[in-house]
Amino acid sequence: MNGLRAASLDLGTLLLPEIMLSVGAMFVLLYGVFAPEGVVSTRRAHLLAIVVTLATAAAAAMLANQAAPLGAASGPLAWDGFRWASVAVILLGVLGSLVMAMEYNEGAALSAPEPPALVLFSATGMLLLVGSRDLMLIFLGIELMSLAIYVLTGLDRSRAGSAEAALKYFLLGAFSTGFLLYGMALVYGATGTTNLTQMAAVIESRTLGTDPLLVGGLALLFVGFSFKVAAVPFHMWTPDVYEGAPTPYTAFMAAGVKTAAFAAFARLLLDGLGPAYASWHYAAWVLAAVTMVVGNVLALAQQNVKRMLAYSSIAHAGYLLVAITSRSADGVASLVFYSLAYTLATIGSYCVLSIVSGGIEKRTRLTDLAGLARTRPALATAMAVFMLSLLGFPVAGGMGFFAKWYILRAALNSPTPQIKLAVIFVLASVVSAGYYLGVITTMFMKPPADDALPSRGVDARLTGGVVAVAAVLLLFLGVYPSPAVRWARASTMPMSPARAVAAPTPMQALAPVNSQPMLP
Amino acid sequence: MTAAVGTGGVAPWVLLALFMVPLIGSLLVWILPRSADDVHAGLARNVTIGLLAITAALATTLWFMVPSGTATFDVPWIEDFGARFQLAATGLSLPLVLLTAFLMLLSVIATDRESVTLRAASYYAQILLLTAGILGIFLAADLLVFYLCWELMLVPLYLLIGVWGTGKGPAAGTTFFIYTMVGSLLMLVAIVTVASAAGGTTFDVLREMAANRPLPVTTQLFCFGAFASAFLVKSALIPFHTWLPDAQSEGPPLAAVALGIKVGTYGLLVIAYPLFPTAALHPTTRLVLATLGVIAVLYGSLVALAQPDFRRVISYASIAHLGFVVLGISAFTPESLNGAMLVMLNAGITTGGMFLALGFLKKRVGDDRFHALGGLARQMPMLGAVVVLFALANAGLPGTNGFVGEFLVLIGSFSRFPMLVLCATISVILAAAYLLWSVQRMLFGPSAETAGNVTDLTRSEAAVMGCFVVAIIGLGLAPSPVLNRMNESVTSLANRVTLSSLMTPTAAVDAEVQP
Repeated sequence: MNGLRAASLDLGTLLLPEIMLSVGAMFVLLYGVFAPEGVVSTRRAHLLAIVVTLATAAAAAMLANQAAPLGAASGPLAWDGFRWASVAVILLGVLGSLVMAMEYNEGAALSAPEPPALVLFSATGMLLLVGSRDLMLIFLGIELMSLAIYVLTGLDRSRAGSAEAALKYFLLGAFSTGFLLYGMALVYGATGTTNLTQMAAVIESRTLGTDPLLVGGLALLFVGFSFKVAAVPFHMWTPDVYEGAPTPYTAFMAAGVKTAAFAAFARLLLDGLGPAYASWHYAAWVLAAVTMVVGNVLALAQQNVKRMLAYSSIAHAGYLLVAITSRSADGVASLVFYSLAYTLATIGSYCVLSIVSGGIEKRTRLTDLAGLARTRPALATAMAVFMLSLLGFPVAGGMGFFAKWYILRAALNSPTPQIKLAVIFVLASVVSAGYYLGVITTMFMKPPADDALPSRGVDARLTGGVVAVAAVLLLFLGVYPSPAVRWARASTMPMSPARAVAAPTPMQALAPVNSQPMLP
Repeated sequence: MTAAVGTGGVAPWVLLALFMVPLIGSLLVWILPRSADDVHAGLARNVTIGLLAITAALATTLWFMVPSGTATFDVPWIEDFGARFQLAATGLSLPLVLLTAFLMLLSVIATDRESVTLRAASYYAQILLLTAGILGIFLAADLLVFYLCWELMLVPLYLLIGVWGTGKGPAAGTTFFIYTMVGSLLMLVAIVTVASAAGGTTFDVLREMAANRPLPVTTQLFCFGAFASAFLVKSALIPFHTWLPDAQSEGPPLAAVALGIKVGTYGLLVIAYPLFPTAALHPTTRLVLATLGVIAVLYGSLVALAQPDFRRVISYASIAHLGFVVLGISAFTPESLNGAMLVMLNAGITTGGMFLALGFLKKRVGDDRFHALGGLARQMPMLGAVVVLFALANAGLPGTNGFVGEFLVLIGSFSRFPMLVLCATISVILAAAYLLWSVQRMLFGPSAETAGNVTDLTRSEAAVMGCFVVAIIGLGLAPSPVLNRMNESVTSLANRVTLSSLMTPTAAVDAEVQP
């Protein structure tokens, strides 16, 4: 609580991006009240939301270059490179989904000014999540993020699939929140604090690493977070929800929720629970391995592209868990780097789907992509780039390769080298070639169906623009990744050392615990 | 970019141009105006031929510019990973660079305008990209550059086989892609391991590590295994060969020609051996590789006897050639290594020529399985003559290029693996059997009724074949210019590897490297 009071001095600065987003969301809502019904207002509401997002991004970029305000060092809100990098990746995803939603919602007749406000509210939760260094704030962030997403999932009331997805997501989400909350309570019970910095210090000094209360809390936290990041065996909701939700919001979920939840998970495990590494390392290892294998194998059997991408996103959760398991500065950097590559490729591929399906959700089967290379060669090429990027293929897949390279590097260079996990990682990637290539084969080597590409395809200029930007960025960073690597390297966060399992030696007991200064 | 981009005067820039001309050219051709009519297809083809001619000219220039020693192009690339954009030409890579440049040029000239109607610009762009990838593999002097080029050649080949191949092309292309990717990704794990240990990915840094602070033996064995799996899958060694015949016969002739360029064994010799000398010269590794090589020689020859068409016969023959290369490399004597390099070069020439010749045939008769053919030599004397010559070169007849390499491999390996070499020698008889039998069924005997009135080679086709004939007979009678060029590099590589393998990490060093 001490931290909270100290931080309250500068709470305005600390929370500026979150405040901007939520106030912006309220403006969008207000606009919805006064604007006349119709397509034009929907478009304007989306544009307003895009402006708010851009302004927030600018503010966050400014803050990232400033020195940490008073109380940031140990307070409930972090002020480090990791937070700002995650914020940047999330806002990128928000921007892409908003643009996509603007044109999609006109096509799918989901005309209403409220969805962009919901996206902004959810984004506020995500930003809070990646910045929080306190269990209570983490919980707040998760709930804020999830509640808005439940609504967005069920936005398309005319489709049973959408409603089913929303209900499923909501019920299971609420259930998993219970686990999360219980886990937090147990961890609080064991350590007596909700602040991650203090938690690490307490675990370290009292050697609580194997304390049953803490381990129990850890297990429940793992269940809760695994649900949010869609790790096997808590992934069951993902395919249905991804398939049922309107495409732009699927993209928003796939990119934003994953990045935010992983950032929080990483911070929780590496900072707060870092000293208990030995207690969670094995769980994270198994979770990563199982998630990679199961996600990729199940994706092979999918006929619907959205569903296939859902399983692929499960597999990617496994890859990101490898980065966390390696528990090093390199691991954190690779997490950020991977999130950027994944966000670009994911948003891009959902944009392509949105254009191809023309707002008709049934048209997201693999066969609907047949012959795309003949009817829309540029779109097909971009989709091929996204698929190869998700596959982690060099040059043609652009940045995706270096993302995988970075995680491999982190895993093999980790204080406890993860050679077996690295081998599982690459073999699972080989399996994923089966379905990513399937998309390319269908687009380039099958003749188009008769009714391929409904008329609306040409209108989605801005979505096409997002596709182009994402593809070009991926390709550029695939040839010259240095700027992104430097950026990822700078996005550090404080990590507590892990050695509390064995009783500390006298030397270690004397060493200052977690006293390294925060990086601006 | 600073002035210090490498060694050797203008040679660095020639190196860079050699890689960049096809790479940038592929983008250029890809964005050429597209339309269904022939004019644009012709334009794309002509531009491609022009670019490939420039590439071939650059390769030739490099050959004469770097008479001995090496040239390097070197600029910083990704500092955080210790990677530099480094290209180099050595006596080992130059012959293969020259081979690639000319093979690709001749294959495009051999592909006539009418045969590619579907998205011609894209087709030619893939060819240029493929050329850049293969050249990059031979020129790379940085492990990361090497890996990127290694994978880069996969996509165009996959698309060429899938989009412009036969009906079974997509399946064959996908199999090829996934097969090779398994090996490549295992290699990626090894690359990351090595790069972390060495603190960089350039060959200089890696060489220094191999010489002064070798990796522990277990790590070396693991990494060598991973590299070897990538290289041997790509070069289709038994038992990883099943993708090759499908890919070579379902794709366009040009893809088959490109697959005949032995990038895999080049990587094995030039990258895996120097990096992991102890593991590579480990008696078990040598025996396993040599045995696999001999099995490939015999199995490839036997299966070639039972193929329904000539293209598949040649595919299996090239698997047998590969066996010779692997045998030569694993024996690791100067003669066997020189022989292995020569077989790589010659197999590329003869296999390439043969696939193009069979492509000409396929275009004329449609069904080119043996039972539908016969007596073609009467109608097509020129094609018949070159096919016979290619077949003889493939069988390793003295006086053709095929003879020298295989002979050197056999005598060079005999001292180390006498029994295995004796077994491998049987294949010379088998090769004569399957090739002559194929030639006889296709060219001689009674005419099949399906082959009504086929015409002989056109003038440009004959010119392309002429180039191959000159290369085959030229290298058969006077291999010394190439051999001399290779010999120096081969010897220095062999010495280096042997030397580093001798200063094997002791247990103490083991403990120091991996606490």
